[in-house]
Amino acid sequence: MNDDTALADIRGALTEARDGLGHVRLDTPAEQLMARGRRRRARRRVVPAAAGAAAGSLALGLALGLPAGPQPVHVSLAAWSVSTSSGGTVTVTFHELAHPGLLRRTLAKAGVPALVSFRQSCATQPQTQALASTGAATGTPDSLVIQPASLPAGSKLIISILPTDNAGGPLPLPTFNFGLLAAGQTATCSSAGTLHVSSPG
Amino acid sequence: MDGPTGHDVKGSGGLGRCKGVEQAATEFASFYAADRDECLRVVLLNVGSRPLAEDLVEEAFTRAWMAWPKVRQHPARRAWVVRTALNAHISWLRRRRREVALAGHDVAAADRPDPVLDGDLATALRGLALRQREVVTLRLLLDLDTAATARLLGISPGTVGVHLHRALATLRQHLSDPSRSEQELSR
Repeated sequence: MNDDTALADIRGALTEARDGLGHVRLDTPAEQLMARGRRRRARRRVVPAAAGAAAGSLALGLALGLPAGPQPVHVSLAAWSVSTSSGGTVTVTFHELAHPGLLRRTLAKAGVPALVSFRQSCATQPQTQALASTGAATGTPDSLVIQPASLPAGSKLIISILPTDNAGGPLPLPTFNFGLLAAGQTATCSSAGTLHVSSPG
Repeated sequence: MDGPTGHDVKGSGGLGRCKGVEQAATEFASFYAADRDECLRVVLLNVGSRPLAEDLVEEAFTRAWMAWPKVRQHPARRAWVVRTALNAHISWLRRRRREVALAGHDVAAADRPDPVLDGDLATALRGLALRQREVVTLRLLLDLDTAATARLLGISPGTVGVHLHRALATLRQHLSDPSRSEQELSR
């Protein structure tokens, strides 16, 4: 069999296979994809601006010799938002698992030293219990309320969120995993996530 | 002579922009409505999982919308979407490999078996190297000629010919010996 014959045969067989999938249709409305595209474009504009603003604030603080203590933070991105209340509580709300480094820097600015991972589970059961015993953070399925003053000196808050498969569904359901990394401790991360949402003991 | 005021000029410019955005949205929606099912079927043949194929095609169309000024002028828009989806599949496989290497327990839920997707030819197609699969998909499933395929993939027409020749040889062997696909998959 020469190439032309093989080409015709395989083209015919592939076309037949494709036509055999005639029942397969994509139902997602165009508007949904266009909205997703617009959100991404907006995020691309906002993230560098937020990073630039954070860097600018830090540079200004250093230049003026201001103390580098916690500062009120109000950052709202498409992926997540961080907001400081007048009582010092810091609330993090998650929408998408993106920009973990920027979240860590934003929390540091708000006085919350944190280890942030959006692909791996980094808190063990004892670390989750340690966080619960301090009452420093309360988790809900999509947000975390933090009392920076209740975090032990030298400790770090562990925020790790692992996207998990929802049995073949189009959108992954994340597993939230919070904990406390004591001073001098190191975190061990893995993709083996189990649901550990902390609550004050 | 009555010329337009500054306000009028600004107003009409804004209106023009709005009309431009609306026109782009209408064009994209029309392109999407016409080609989404076909793109999904072609990508599904390539990846074998319907939820994954849907995600990949949606991702590719989202990128097409984000780059619509460029994509709308592309001579083979449907092929652009399919190729973008196949590239997204490679990125997905790399991510998944890293995550599985860490724990080895994240197993995707199995799809309901589909006789078309489980057929020898579809199985053999999925076993081809990416470049060969892209060439077969563009040339045979999307009917692009060699020159258009070469332009889209950024390779020479001669290289397209080489990839197609090798792919045909492999697919032909699988067609003549269907048990080969199963043997290779079980290795």
